[in-house]
Amino acid sequence: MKLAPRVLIVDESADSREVLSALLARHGATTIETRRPQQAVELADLHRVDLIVFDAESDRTASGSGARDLKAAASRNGTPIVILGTVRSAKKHAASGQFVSKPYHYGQLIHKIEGLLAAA
Amino acid sequence: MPSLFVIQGRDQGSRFRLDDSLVTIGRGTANTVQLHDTEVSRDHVELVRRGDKFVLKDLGSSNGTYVNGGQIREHELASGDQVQLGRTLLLYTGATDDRLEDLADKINIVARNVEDDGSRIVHSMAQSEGSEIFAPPDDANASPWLARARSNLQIMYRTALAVSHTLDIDQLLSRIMDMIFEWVDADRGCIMLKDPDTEQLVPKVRRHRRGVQTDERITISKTILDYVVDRNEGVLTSNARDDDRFDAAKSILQLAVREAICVPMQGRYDVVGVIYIDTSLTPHRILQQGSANKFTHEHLKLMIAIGHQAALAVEDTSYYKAMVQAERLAAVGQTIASLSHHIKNILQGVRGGSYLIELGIKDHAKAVSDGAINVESAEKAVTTMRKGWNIVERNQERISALVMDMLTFSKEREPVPEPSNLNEIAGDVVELMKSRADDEKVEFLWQPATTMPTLMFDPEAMHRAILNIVTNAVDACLERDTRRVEVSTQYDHKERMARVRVVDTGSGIEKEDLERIFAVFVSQKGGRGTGLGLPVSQKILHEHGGRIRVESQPDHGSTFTLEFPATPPHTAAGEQPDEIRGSAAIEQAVDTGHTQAATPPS
Repeated sequence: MKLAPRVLIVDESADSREVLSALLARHGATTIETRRPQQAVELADLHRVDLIVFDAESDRTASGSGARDLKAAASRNGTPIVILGTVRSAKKHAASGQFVSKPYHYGQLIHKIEGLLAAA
Repeated sequence: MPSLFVIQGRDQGSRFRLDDSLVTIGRGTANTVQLHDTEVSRDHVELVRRGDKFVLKDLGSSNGTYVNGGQIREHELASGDQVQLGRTLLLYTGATDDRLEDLADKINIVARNVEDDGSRIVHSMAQSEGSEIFAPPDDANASPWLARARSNLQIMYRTALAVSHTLDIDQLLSRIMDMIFEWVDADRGCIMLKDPDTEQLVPKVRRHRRGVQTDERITISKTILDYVVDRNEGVLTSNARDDDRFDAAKSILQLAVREAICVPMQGRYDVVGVIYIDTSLTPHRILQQGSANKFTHEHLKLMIAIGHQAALAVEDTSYYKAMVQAERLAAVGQTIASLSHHIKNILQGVRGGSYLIELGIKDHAKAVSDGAINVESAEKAVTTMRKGWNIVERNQERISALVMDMLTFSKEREPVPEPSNLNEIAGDVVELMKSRADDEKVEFLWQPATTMPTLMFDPEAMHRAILNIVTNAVDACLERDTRRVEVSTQYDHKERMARVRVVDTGSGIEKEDLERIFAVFVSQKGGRGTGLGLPVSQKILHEHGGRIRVESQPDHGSTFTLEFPATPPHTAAGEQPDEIRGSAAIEQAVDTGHTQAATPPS
């Protein structure tokens, strides 16, 4: 893992953001947090983060455009993205990044994030 | 949203929303709609959306596809069409037809006809007199045929009335049987309905004419029943040996039925059952009436008509029951789904918090075992544990609030009024929410009324009602640049009305959503909301004889006003004066935005 990688956390749950931030901080990563993918697109373009962790259920747009735009931004910037979602939505998101089905265990999630950051 | 509703078959009561542009239906698991019907093909039909319509296409099914009783290969569905696949009958409901003319502007109801043409009431007739249209004429010389026709019409009129007044099938059938016995001189009778699963006729109602031995079993020829159901024809048998259609069967001969009428109950698309009546003529009675026949062709025709009328009523009742059941199941399903989702989110929070605590403990244990325990490592471990514990605690509060909301919502309760101070109750809520508002950088303004008398109300319930509204206000601000929540109280001495006003600078509520915000399990907060908070607050206010008024402007914010009649303890003995409730009810919200007033149910 490179020094102080930056991770963008996109999750409407304040608890999840807080836990993930605390865990990533233990691994020397800094985090940027936001609730919605729409804001995350701007942040991803602006900060050129090393990884995006996106809870797909945080996209409240009726058409799912928020998730689409964020995945497109990740692809455009060459940023790996970890998508957290229901098993049912796995097929929809699997092609865009690493998919982790909910409910997930934080230990496994951190392990996956570590792997991606190390490869980046 | 277009949908298919199963009104008959193993999946009866299921409703399938047609969300996609292609919907496949069949027995196979890969279909969008899977039917548990062995007579449905694995891939039976597909529905293809064309504009706002759906076209039904048979995919070469073994048993065919029928719409409104006719077999189809391809058919554009219209709302109300009934689709038969195997033994499953589905009702198609299309999208709402926007082309329907708004007649509000076309028909005027006015207090006084401005273009008075001098019209006046010439005759009036009570509803009950309507049936007398078929009463026998006074003219004694009227033709017997006309008299009979009138009588039959009256019977049909009364049948139609009788069957339209009940939604209980057993009661309905019983009523039909009573009427048949009133009009036809039968000795015994029964109604059998077809079991939708087994297709077997199951007896539902039995009658004997008074004086006829009541414990006698009614034995009915299966040959006759099969004939009636298979051919969908009514039969009159006066003597089985004279009727060569049944010569292959012995049953009629053995039963010695002298006269019987058996008619199908033909519904819209299928025979739902049969009505059977019979009579035994003794030689004595034949001599008395001078004829060996009691049932005539006329009776048969009348019975067929009654059978059809009864079948339609049975179908309607079955569909209605299925519909009610489906709605009940849908409500239960929605409740479970909604609660599960919320509990799942809480558990995820608890899981995260616990994991942090676990890591803190591990850090501490490792430092101890490495002999590296020092202030810095101990502090780090404690910080991690504290962070985790805060999250666990927060989620404990969430689950506690959820349980309280569920309890409040699920039972009817009378408020337990006691002398309370609204400033203290609302102030406690503010205190409770302050730290969260600070965490979320929401400015919190608390403006208690300068004079607030001690009032009679249920403090615990009101605390919950206010807490839910304030929680929503804070949540509404989270995604806004300007984050401000103002809570104020007021007591109107003249009206004896207590008010709590909660103003937020949140995203506001769209006009079309305003009507639904008090509906249970409807949440504007996505995964964070249970959809119980507002209904619970509304319920509490209703229990206090009050209401919640909402004024909202999208992108500007909302104002929720909780108001309820309340009096100080010394004037509160007994009932609240009616005029207090009245004055609360007529107050109108004045606002340039959208307004929704949630008034108590009458």
